[in-house]
Order: sequence, then C-alpha cells, then structure tokens
Amino acid sequence: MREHLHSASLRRDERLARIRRLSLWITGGAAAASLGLGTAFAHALPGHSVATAATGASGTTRSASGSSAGAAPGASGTGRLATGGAKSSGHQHKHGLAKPKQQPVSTPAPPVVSSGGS
Amino acid sequence: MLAASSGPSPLWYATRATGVVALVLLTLTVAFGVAGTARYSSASLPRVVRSGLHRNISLLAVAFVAVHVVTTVLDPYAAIGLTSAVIPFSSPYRPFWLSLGTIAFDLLLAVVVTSLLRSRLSYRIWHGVHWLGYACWPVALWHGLGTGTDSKLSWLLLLDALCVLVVAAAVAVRLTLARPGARAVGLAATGMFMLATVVFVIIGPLQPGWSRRAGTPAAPASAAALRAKPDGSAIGVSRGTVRPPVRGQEARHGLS
Repeated sequence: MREHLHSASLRRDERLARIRRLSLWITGGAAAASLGLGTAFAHALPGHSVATAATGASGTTRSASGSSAGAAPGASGTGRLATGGAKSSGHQHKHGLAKPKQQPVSTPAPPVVSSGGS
Repeated sequence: MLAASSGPSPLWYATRATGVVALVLLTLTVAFGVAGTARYSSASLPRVVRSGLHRNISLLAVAFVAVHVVTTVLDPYAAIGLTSAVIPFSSPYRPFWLSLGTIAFDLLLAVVVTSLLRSRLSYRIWHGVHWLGYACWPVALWHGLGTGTDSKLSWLLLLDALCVLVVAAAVAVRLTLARPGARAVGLAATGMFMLATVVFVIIGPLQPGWSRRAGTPAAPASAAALRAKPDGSAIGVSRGTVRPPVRGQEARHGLS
C-alpha cells in the first residue's frame, strides 16, 4: 500500500514537473516569438527605416521618402492628407520615389552674413 | 525622437507582435481544450498534463492579450482609449473590426474570472461561460484579419491558416466522438467557417482600399495633432502646407 502511494506520488510529481517544464518552454517561446515578430514587422512593413532615416533629414525629404516593398497597394489614406504635388500612391510605393511634378521654386540666395571682421 | 513621436513606434510593433502571439496561444488553448472534451490522453500527453497546459497556456494568452491592449491604448496614433478596449463599438478607428477584438477580450476576461472563481460558482455557470470562451478564438482571428495592417504579409497569412487548420483538426477529431447528426452539423459549421474566412480575406484585407472600407478615419488623431502643431516642425506640416505623412506611418496603420 505504501509503495503504491509512493509510486503514485512520484508519478504525480513527474507529471507536474512536465507541465512546469513545458509551460516554461512555451512561455519562453512566446516571448522570443514576440520579439522576433516585432523585429520582423519592423522590417517587413514600411516605415521603420523611414523613421530612422528621416531623423536627420529635412521635411521635404521626409515626406518624399519611405517607399518599401511591403507597402500596401492602392493606398487611399495618403491622398486624404496630400495636397498639391505631394500626392503619393501605391504605385509609387512599389517603385520608389516619385518625381516631383513641379520644379522647385527658385529662391534667392540667402544673404551673406559677415561677422564684422576683427 | 522622430521615430518615437511620429514614425512607427515600438509600441505599434509590440501591439502587432503580441496580438499574433496571443492568437497562436489562443489556438493552442482551444486545441488543448477541445482535446480535453474529447477525453484525449496518451502516454506522452496524459490527461493531467494536457489539462495543466490548457490552463497555463490560456493564462499566458491572457497576459499577451493584456500587453496587446495596453500597447494599443498607449500608441497615440489611432487614439484608442481604455474605454474602447473594453466596450465594443466605442472607437472611431475601424469600429467593427476593433470591436471584435474588444468582444474577444471581454469573453476572455469572463472565462478567466469565472475560472478563478470556479469553487464559488456552480458547475453549470462556469461551464456555460467556458463554452462562450470558445467563441473568443474565431472572433479574435477575424479581428486580426480585419484590423491588422499586416494581413497582406504572406507569412502571416500562412500562420493564420495554420491556426485555422489546427483548430479545425481538433474540432474534427472531437466530432468523431459525437452523434452522427451533431457530427454532420459540426463538420458543416467548421467547413463554412473556414470557407467564410478564406472568402473574407480575399475580398477584404487583400483588396486595395480595405482601410477605408474597414472604417479608418480620414484624419486619425495623431495626424490631426501633427497638423495642429504651430511650429510646423512635425512631419506633415511645413510652412502651413499640409504634407502627406511618412508613408510608413500610413502603412503601419493600414491606410491601404
């Protein structure tokens, strides 16, 4: 009787340990998968490299850059906020930067500022 | 600084990643749960181990769903408030598809709370709520397909298909133990669901303009905030001219 109880106790402990072990593996796998998926989304979806590159760029460059292979075709949200020649489309998403429809306005050269000598 | 303020933030990536992982964990939970109702047991997976995994994985899924909700609320772009996270149809951002996620979250909460209070509830109430919990999985799947801005990614579609197949296989195995009439109805319902999901993906998220049809506001909150900045230093505003935002910013929120 005592051996039977001992055996049952061992079996129970072994099964609980298996549950714990498998749960830990699944938890670790889920955490790793979450990190991996986050990284994968950062590379698969447009925007990640854009935001990084745009940090040191001018406003015009920021609005014009950002094409990526995973861009959604036929983007309709773009046009809602776009005005003038700054529209973009899904076609442009696929094929890189769009050529500007207008020539940049020529502005006079900035005045030369001298420090005053001495 | 820019990436944190207007570009795709880490919060968005965390939202997407935890959402996908939560769906996979929910799939495993449902599969183990269905296997439990089928009294499945083997030498490698005894009943107590299967039951323990079902419980632990479901709690893990709840944790991932919680992170998914918190990161969604903290991500300022779509301005999804905490209220919208628990009350369906209260968000202006893709109301229907977001509400599916809200409903799935509420169902999951109900299952967890009743399971924690199981000793104080009658078996009938607990069992009824637990069965409702199975509805959480298809609702969550459709939420991901409809709201997810990454539904076009082939590997993600493959993962969704794998989840559907796992649950369908578990249900099919379970139905082999059912009465012939119930078996036919169950198999027909499973087949219909799979067919409806495939048709929905083809005519919905894979089509251009899905964002507009899904109910994405024309000017999400963050875009409006960017336009409202007086100094015009933010993306989208330059010397009084509204410029299109960074394309990645649109794509990350599914303006497709």
